[in-house]
Amino acid sequence: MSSEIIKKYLEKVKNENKYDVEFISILENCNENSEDGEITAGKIIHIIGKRYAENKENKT
Amino acid sequence: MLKIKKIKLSGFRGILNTQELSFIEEGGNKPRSLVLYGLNSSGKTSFVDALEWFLSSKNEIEWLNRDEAKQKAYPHLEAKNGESFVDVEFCDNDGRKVFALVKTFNNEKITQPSVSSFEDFESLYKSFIIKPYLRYMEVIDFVYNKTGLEKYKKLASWMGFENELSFQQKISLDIIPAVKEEEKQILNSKKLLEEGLIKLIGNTTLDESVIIDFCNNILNKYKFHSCKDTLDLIEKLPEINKLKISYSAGVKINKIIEIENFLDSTGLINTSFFGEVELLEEEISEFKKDLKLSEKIDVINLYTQALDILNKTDSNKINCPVCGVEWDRRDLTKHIQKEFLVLQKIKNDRDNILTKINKLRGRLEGEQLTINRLISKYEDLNGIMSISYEEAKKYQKNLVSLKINLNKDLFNQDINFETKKDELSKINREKDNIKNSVIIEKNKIQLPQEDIQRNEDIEKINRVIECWQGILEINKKMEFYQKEVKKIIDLSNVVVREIQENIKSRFGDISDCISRYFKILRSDKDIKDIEIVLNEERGRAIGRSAEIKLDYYDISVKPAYKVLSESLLNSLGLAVYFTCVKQFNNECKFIVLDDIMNSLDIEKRDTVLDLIGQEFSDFQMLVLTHDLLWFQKIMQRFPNWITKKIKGWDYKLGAKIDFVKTTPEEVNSLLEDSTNINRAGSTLCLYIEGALNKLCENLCAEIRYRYIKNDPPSMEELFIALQKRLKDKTNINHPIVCKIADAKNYEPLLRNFTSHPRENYSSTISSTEVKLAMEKWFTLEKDLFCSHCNRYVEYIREKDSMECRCGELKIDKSLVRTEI
Repeated sequence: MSSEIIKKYLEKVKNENKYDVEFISILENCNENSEDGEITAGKIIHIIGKRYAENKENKT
Repeated sequence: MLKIKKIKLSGFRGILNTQELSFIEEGGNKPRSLVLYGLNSSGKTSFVDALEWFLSSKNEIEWLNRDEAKQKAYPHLEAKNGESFVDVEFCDNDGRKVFALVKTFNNEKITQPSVSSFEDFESLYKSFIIKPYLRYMEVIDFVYNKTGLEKYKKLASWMGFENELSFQQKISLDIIPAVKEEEKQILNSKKLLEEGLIKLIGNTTLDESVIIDFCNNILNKYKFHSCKDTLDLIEKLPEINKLKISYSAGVKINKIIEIENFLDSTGLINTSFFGEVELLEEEISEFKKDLKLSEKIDVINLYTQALDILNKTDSNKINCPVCGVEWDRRDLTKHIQKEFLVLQKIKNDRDNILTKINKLRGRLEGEQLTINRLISKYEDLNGIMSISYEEAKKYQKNLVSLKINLNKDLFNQDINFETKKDELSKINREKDNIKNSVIIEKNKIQLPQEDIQRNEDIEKINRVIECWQGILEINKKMEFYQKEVKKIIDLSNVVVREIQENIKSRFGDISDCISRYFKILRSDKDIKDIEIVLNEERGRAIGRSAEIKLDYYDISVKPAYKVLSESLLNSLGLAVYFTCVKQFNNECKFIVLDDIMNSLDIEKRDTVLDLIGQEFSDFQMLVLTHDLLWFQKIMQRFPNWITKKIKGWDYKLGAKIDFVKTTPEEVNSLLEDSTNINRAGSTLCLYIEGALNKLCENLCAEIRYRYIKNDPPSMEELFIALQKRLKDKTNINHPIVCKIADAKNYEPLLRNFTSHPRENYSSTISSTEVKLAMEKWFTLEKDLFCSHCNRYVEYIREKDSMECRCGELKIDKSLVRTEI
């Protein structure tokens, strides 16, 4: 069951514009779908890997 | 507001045939509280288990989760499929029906019972935050859980922040550790390269100057000018490679040396990769069992829209937005919600598998890179000497087929990834054999020693630079990764902080109430300012751990169990639970208490009734007890409650429940049968002894000190002590003193039914004598028991008066009995 309070917290954090939006959206999804923490972690690692590859490509 | 009108259960736990508990008095309509008395193992707990299962959205009974008992232990062993159910009728405060719900156990899908109304059950689950039932074991469990983390978990369940706790746990125990684990893996690959490099240069210090010095030393040996840094060296590498001896045997030896160096300094397969592939295969196979349903995932949006439309309409009959058929609105809503939830779960499972597939694709690329490089070296080597590398080729082929498989629609066709864990050891064994053959082959080639040395040296420079570049690349990757990890940690910290602040404020909200309730339960101790505090000190469970802090005789103590006795801790556990119910359950107004007084000393049990009477008069109680004395006290304190007892228990039938009579009703009924005089006398004696004990205690009568539990004061001693106290505080001719004397006259007769019953004596006592003894006692009790607050009078030291708690009944000291 997802938590409305956590949904609200994440919404609040998103509005602060200080934190990574893509990561917030992964946590939102984790809360809404009662996702396993390991799956969420996998998504985060995947995003970081993708960003590194893009960053490397841009530099070259 | 939800109260219970009727509970009916069948085929559940210890009850086979249908049993019913009604909370309505005959002829009445308003829901009452109910106390059910029964000896241990008489089936009381079956009612609590049934209610817990009924009220659980997860369809679970927590205490049966031990030893893997779980759902299979819920139905009665003799019950057939469909015969195990719990049926509860709910009403409001005035007895108006809210809903009647039935949950039926499904023997084929034990975790998925069928429910009479999905919608109404959802409303029921939402009506309470705190679970409205408390077992004796739970109080003990709470106060004796040793760690703050366990207390926090219990509070989460009592105070309804389990979802927040679960999210905190996901962040702290799964997400952050997994992200850091990935960081560790990157560092491990760096470590492998560093080990290879150290082996090549023979120096544990790895920096630019050491690397360049090492390479320059070699270059100088062959009259090649020094390079200023590694970049310079990389630029000159083609030129440097020309230093190798280039005749046919030299080419061969160069190749061999290059391959030997490569095999020495290259790591191989990721050991966890195989396990992950196998796990994925299992998950996909499991998922495919619901394949037909998964094909319908795409219609989820349709269901969402349909629900929106249904919510907007008030009409009872409605055409299905999908097929157009006319439905009863309630049935259609129920049907759509049910379908929606099933599909939502399948969608989540599918998304999770897809994420894993993506992750594996990334890893697979790394694996392919490694094996392709190895095979390319083997191919080069095969041009020089004959080697066999079938295992490597097989693995390469498997990876290609795995890649093809991972790119297919895995949910709609047969899959076989053909990965076996022992392949890794075979490849490594093959690699070792090839390395040995290389060394033998190298030794066979007869080249001048200085030429071999030169070629080895130049090849070493190539490998050193290759490793060094690899390390620099990983450093860059690491720097990037750490920045990203910091972002997710910062985000997690801020979310967790928000959760903690909210929970802290909830703890703050209830602390005053806990102190107040504790004071009612234990007014004899100077304990105040009880607070639940979040542990924010360092430690593994930081922010997910709670403790109870309090002032004990003006000393601040945390955790509470440092100074509190077992009995005080039990009272504290009760105060916390009752506070949570009062504060958070605004809709659900019933509480089920299963033998909770067990956790308290006998003389403190009345205080629980004080708490219920003073603070929970708006709640409906279902109290189950095996303690006869407490049961009688409840009857006396709450005469409006429905009182029932379990007369016996039978394997086939379950509990035999009957109404309970008052003591005079019970005695009179027994006396109707002349063979029951003994039982009538015993019942009366037990009652009078209990009342005398309470009166002596309340009025501070001097009574013999009990040295041992088995030597209580006799009925005579109690009568004498009470009479003396009343005489001292009033006068010798006070009506109550005289009434005590009247009742006491029957004590010699009654004592035969108490401590030392003599079977042959009772026959000489007539039912008229027992009736007279009873009449005299209740005439006396009427003057000492307040029918308003339902309590006996007490001695108030400050006023030197004898009165009840509410002040309605006061003993007038000056009264004198006039009639003889």
